[in-house]
Amino acid sequence: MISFRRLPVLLGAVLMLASAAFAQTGTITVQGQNPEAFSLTDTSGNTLSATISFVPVAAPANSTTVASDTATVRMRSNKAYKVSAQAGTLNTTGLGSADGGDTISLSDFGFGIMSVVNNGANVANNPGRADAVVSGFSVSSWPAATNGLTPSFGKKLSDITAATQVLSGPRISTKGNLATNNNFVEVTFGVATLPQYFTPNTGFSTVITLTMASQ
Amino acid sequence: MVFGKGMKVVLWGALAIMTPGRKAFAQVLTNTSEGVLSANIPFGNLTPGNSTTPASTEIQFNIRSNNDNGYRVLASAVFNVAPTSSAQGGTTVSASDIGVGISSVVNGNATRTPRVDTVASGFNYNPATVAAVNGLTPYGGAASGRATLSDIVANPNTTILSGPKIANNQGINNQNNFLTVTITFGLVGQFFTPATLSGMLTLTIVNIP
Repeated sequence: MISFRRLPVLLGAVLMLASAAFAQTGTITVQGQNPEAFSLTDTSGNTLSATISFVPVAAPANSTTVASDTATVRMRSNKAYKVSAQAGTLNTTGLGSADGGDTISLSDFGFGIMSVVNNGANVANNPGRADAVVSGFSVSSWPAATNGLTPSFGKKLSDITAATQVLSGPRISTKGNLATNNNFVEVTFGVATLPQYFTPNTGFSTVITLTMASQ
Repeated sequence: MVFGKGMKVVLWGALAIMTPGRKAFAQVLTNTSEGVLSANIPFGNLTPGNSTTPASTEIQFNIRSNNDNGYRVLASAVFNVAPTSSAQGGTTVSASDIGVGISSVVNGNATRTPRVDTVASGFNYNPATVAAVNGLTPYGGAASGRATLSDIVANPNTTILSGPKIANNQGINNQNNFLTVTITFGLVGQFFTPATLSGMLTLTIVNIP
């Protein structure tokens, strides 16, 4: 026997079941992740693959001025960063006989950071950024040679045959991506050498690998 | 057996709601399989790229209504971001970085025509096709014609779509009596503070009284 006192409760339950069968509401969940991001590119935002060229190498001259070249890279990050550099083996081609003389080596190349420009509108912690070049790697101008020999470079490629930290700093980019034209720090690296009467060769090369990572 | 007056009201109300085709159930919102809409939009890892094209994804759903005065689709949203690192002077992603737009409304074969379904101002665009000028968020909010999730978070039960009666019945077994609506979301991967983000958009279809 049905108790009519409970009929409203029963009808209420029926109502709820009926409502559930005809959805009027739906949900969409949005999910994502902003990972830690560090980027070291060329000045177009593409993969860095720069060449520092000494070709043609000037013949030894009556000069104290070194030959030098630079490569400019753009760095972006959403976290404090550090940059390390490592030089590979110096390869030579067409190497003649040393015949008792010296052959050019990594220790004949100066290496350093010529400038750090960090004034973009979407650069974090600006003004007042504290990007720090490791002692010895900051180069305002190359030293002059004395007696026509390799000058006393602050740092040489032979100092970075293992991965060596050269730069660090706080978060760089407030936002934006690699296409953004004002959220990066632009760093110019330089390499220099003094043309000398080294053993003849038809070419030399080394690869300097720059790595950017979280502090 | 005698029912009291109040009991009669409850009984007829229940019967009205349970009976297909009655006005109490004049609107239905489902996924495209006619089930409850419960969709995920995984933007995944938003690694910054060298592109001006936003990451985008879309969700489709079906709406049915046989209410003589038409229908409205309301949207409410919540948004959460959990940084995994300090901001360090930078910007953290927010709901205003996520573009939301209704990119299409397709009529079923048995819908009433001619139709004038109206996408709310600011939501009538496709976030996937908006170029990210200078690699930055290109959505300025509904007032600028490019709505974001922030517009919905700030204004619960925002009407994003409305229109006249869709069909003469709203039965979900009928495959021609609904509108298929596509909502597209866009987000430009940037050097935002490392974080995980999540949000939920709740859509509700209601009768226009």
